[in-house]
Amino acid sequence: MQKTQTALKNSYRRYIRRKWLVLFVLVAILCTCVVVSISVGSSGLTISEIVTALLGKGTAQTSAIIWNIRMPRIVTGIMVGIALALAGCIMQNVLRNPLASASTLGVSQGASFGAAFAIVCLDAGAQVNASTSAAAAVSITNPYLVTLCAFIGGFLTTVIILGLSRIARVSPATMVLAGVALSSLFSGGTTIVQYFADDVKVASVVYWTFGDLGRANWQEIASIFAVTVIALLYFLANRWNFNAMESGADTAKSLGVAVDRLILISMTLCSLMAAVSTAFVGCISFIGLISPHMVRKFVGNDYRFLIPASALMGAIVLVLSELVSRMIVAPSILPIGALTSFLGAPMFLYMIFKRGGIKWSK
Amino acid sequence: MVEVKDITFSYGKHSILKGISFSAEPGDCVGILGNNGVGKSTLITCMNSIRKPDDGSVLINGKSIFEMSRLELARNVAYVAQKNELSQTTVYDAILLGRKPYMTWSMNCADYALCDEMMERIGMTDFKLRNINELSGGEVQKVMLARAFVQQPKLLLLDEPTSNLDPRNQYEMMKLVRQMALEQGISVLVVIHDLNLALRYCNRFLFIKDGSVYDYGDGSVVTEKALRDVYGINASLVIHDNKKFAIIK
Repeated sequence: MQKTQTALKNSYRRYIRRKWLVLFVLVAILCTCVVVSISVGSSGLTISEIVTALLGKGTAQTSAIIWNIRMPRIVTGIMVGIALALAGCIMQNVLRNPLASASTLGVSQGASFGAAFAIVCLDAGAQVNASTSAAAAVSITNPYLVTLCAFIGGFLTTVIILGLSRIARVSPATMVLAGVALSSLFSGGTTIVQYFADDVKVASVVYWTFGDLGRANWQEIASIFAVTVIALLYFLANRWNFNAMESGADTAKSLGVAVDRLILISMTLCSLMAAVSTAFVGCISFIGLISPHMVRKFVGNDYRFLIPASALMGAIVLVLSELVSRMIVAPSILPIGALTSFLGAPMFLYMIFKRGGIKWSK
Repeated sequence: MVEVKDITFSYGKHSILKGISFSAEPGDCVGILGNNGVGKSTLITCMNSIRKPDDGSVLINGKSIFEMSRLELARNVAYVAQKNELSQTTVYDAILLGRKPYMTWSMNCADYALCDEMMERIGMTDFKLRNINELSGGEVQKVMLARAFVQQPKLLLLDEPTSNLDPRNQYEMMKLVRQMALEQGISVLVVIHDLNLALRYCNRFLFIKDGSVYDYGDGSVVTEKALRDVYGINASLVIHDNKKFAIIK
């Protein structure tokens, strides 16, 4: 018996080590993407120049390019990618819905409406420099107000979705349809807000909704970082609770999980992450939806690994998308939101049709 | 010892349970019998706080479960649902989840050792890293039962654990439940529809009719009259090899 148990322990250890290996591989891919992304641009930089500048020993020009232009975009990409992927991963768990994400449930659109309302009606944004690229022309003058309004919009959607899932007991498929309806509602609201705004503000909102990673400054990146780290720590602390939730709410309760509290706090944090991301970089779709599904193939539904793996995959996809957005029609930069949709939609369709890759819970 | 006192539950104005009372000793296996819709599953879920009863109490060794914290409750009461939602996870991880109520930050060596022992006990060592979605219905039920046992509960609630299983798996499942209950001193409450399975592996019987206790006690309460009154069926009870069997006419 002792022999069998030792063999059991060893094989399980190997199995766990394989999952850790997946995480290390994802970290390595992300690091590679970051270095490549830094090196690509109108001012071509060599690897040695990049490393020297990152170590603080580069020339003034190289350091300026890396720290003032490229790094903010890349770090924003990493943080927003992590935030959106985490939100998708956790929403899919607590709502028992594989299609749940900030964008499919209308949370991003709700946040967009809130932010547009703040920019137009509360004068929280302004067009500062129309001579540069369209997206760069928009500046948020009061980021806290925009974030607050975006959070209210996003959280309002969350409350409606939670209400539908708990009170009306709607099915997972109906929940996504409700998300489509809410998205439409908030898009209509944003249109109304724009209709009554002056030309400059309309332009600001339109450019802002394109999604642009270059918009956030270091202070705003710090805000996204703070929210994401708090959420990540909470999610990691509850990784076993999320594993229990996979067996259904009743079983989770019988395993000691405070199901209602877990759902409420998780959804609030997901809304906050989606809202902060949307407020600072605009609407970015599909990252939250596809990233968890992309890594499930390698780490399964074990949230000890799925949470960090989804976060890393979200960062990788967004950093890569950012890189492609700068390369396709250089020196112009394509809107990142459109690009993630172009990349995400076919990838998602592929996953749906390949061996029925996504399973609905009942 | 488990004591259930005057449990009352209703869905809105529709009364489901009307003052259910009974008690069970450690090692007892109580078969809950009655027609569909009389409130058997509702009673089970009231006994682990998944549903809050309107009135009444459930005491485990004198302490009310409604005064226990979530974790304390999970350490005292384990539950296997009628329908299990299966995640894309391994058999070993599914069983390991049963140690969650005892976990601080992560599982410790004792948790792993207990799971190893349980895997061997249910004869699923070769399936340890198999995805639970790839198992048969009987194997899944074994895994769910193993998860409940590693919770080391004082009360185990089983909601129709043998439904959808072939006869061999039904008997194996109930045999395992009975053995574990006796070995570990667990009181088991099992909602069961197969009378002969209940007669073979349960030592106490709780008949529920119209939300109330029709009768409760040892094998002597299982009579032809009780089966007629509770199920509305005519059945003969025969003794074979010192065991009671029900034959439905």
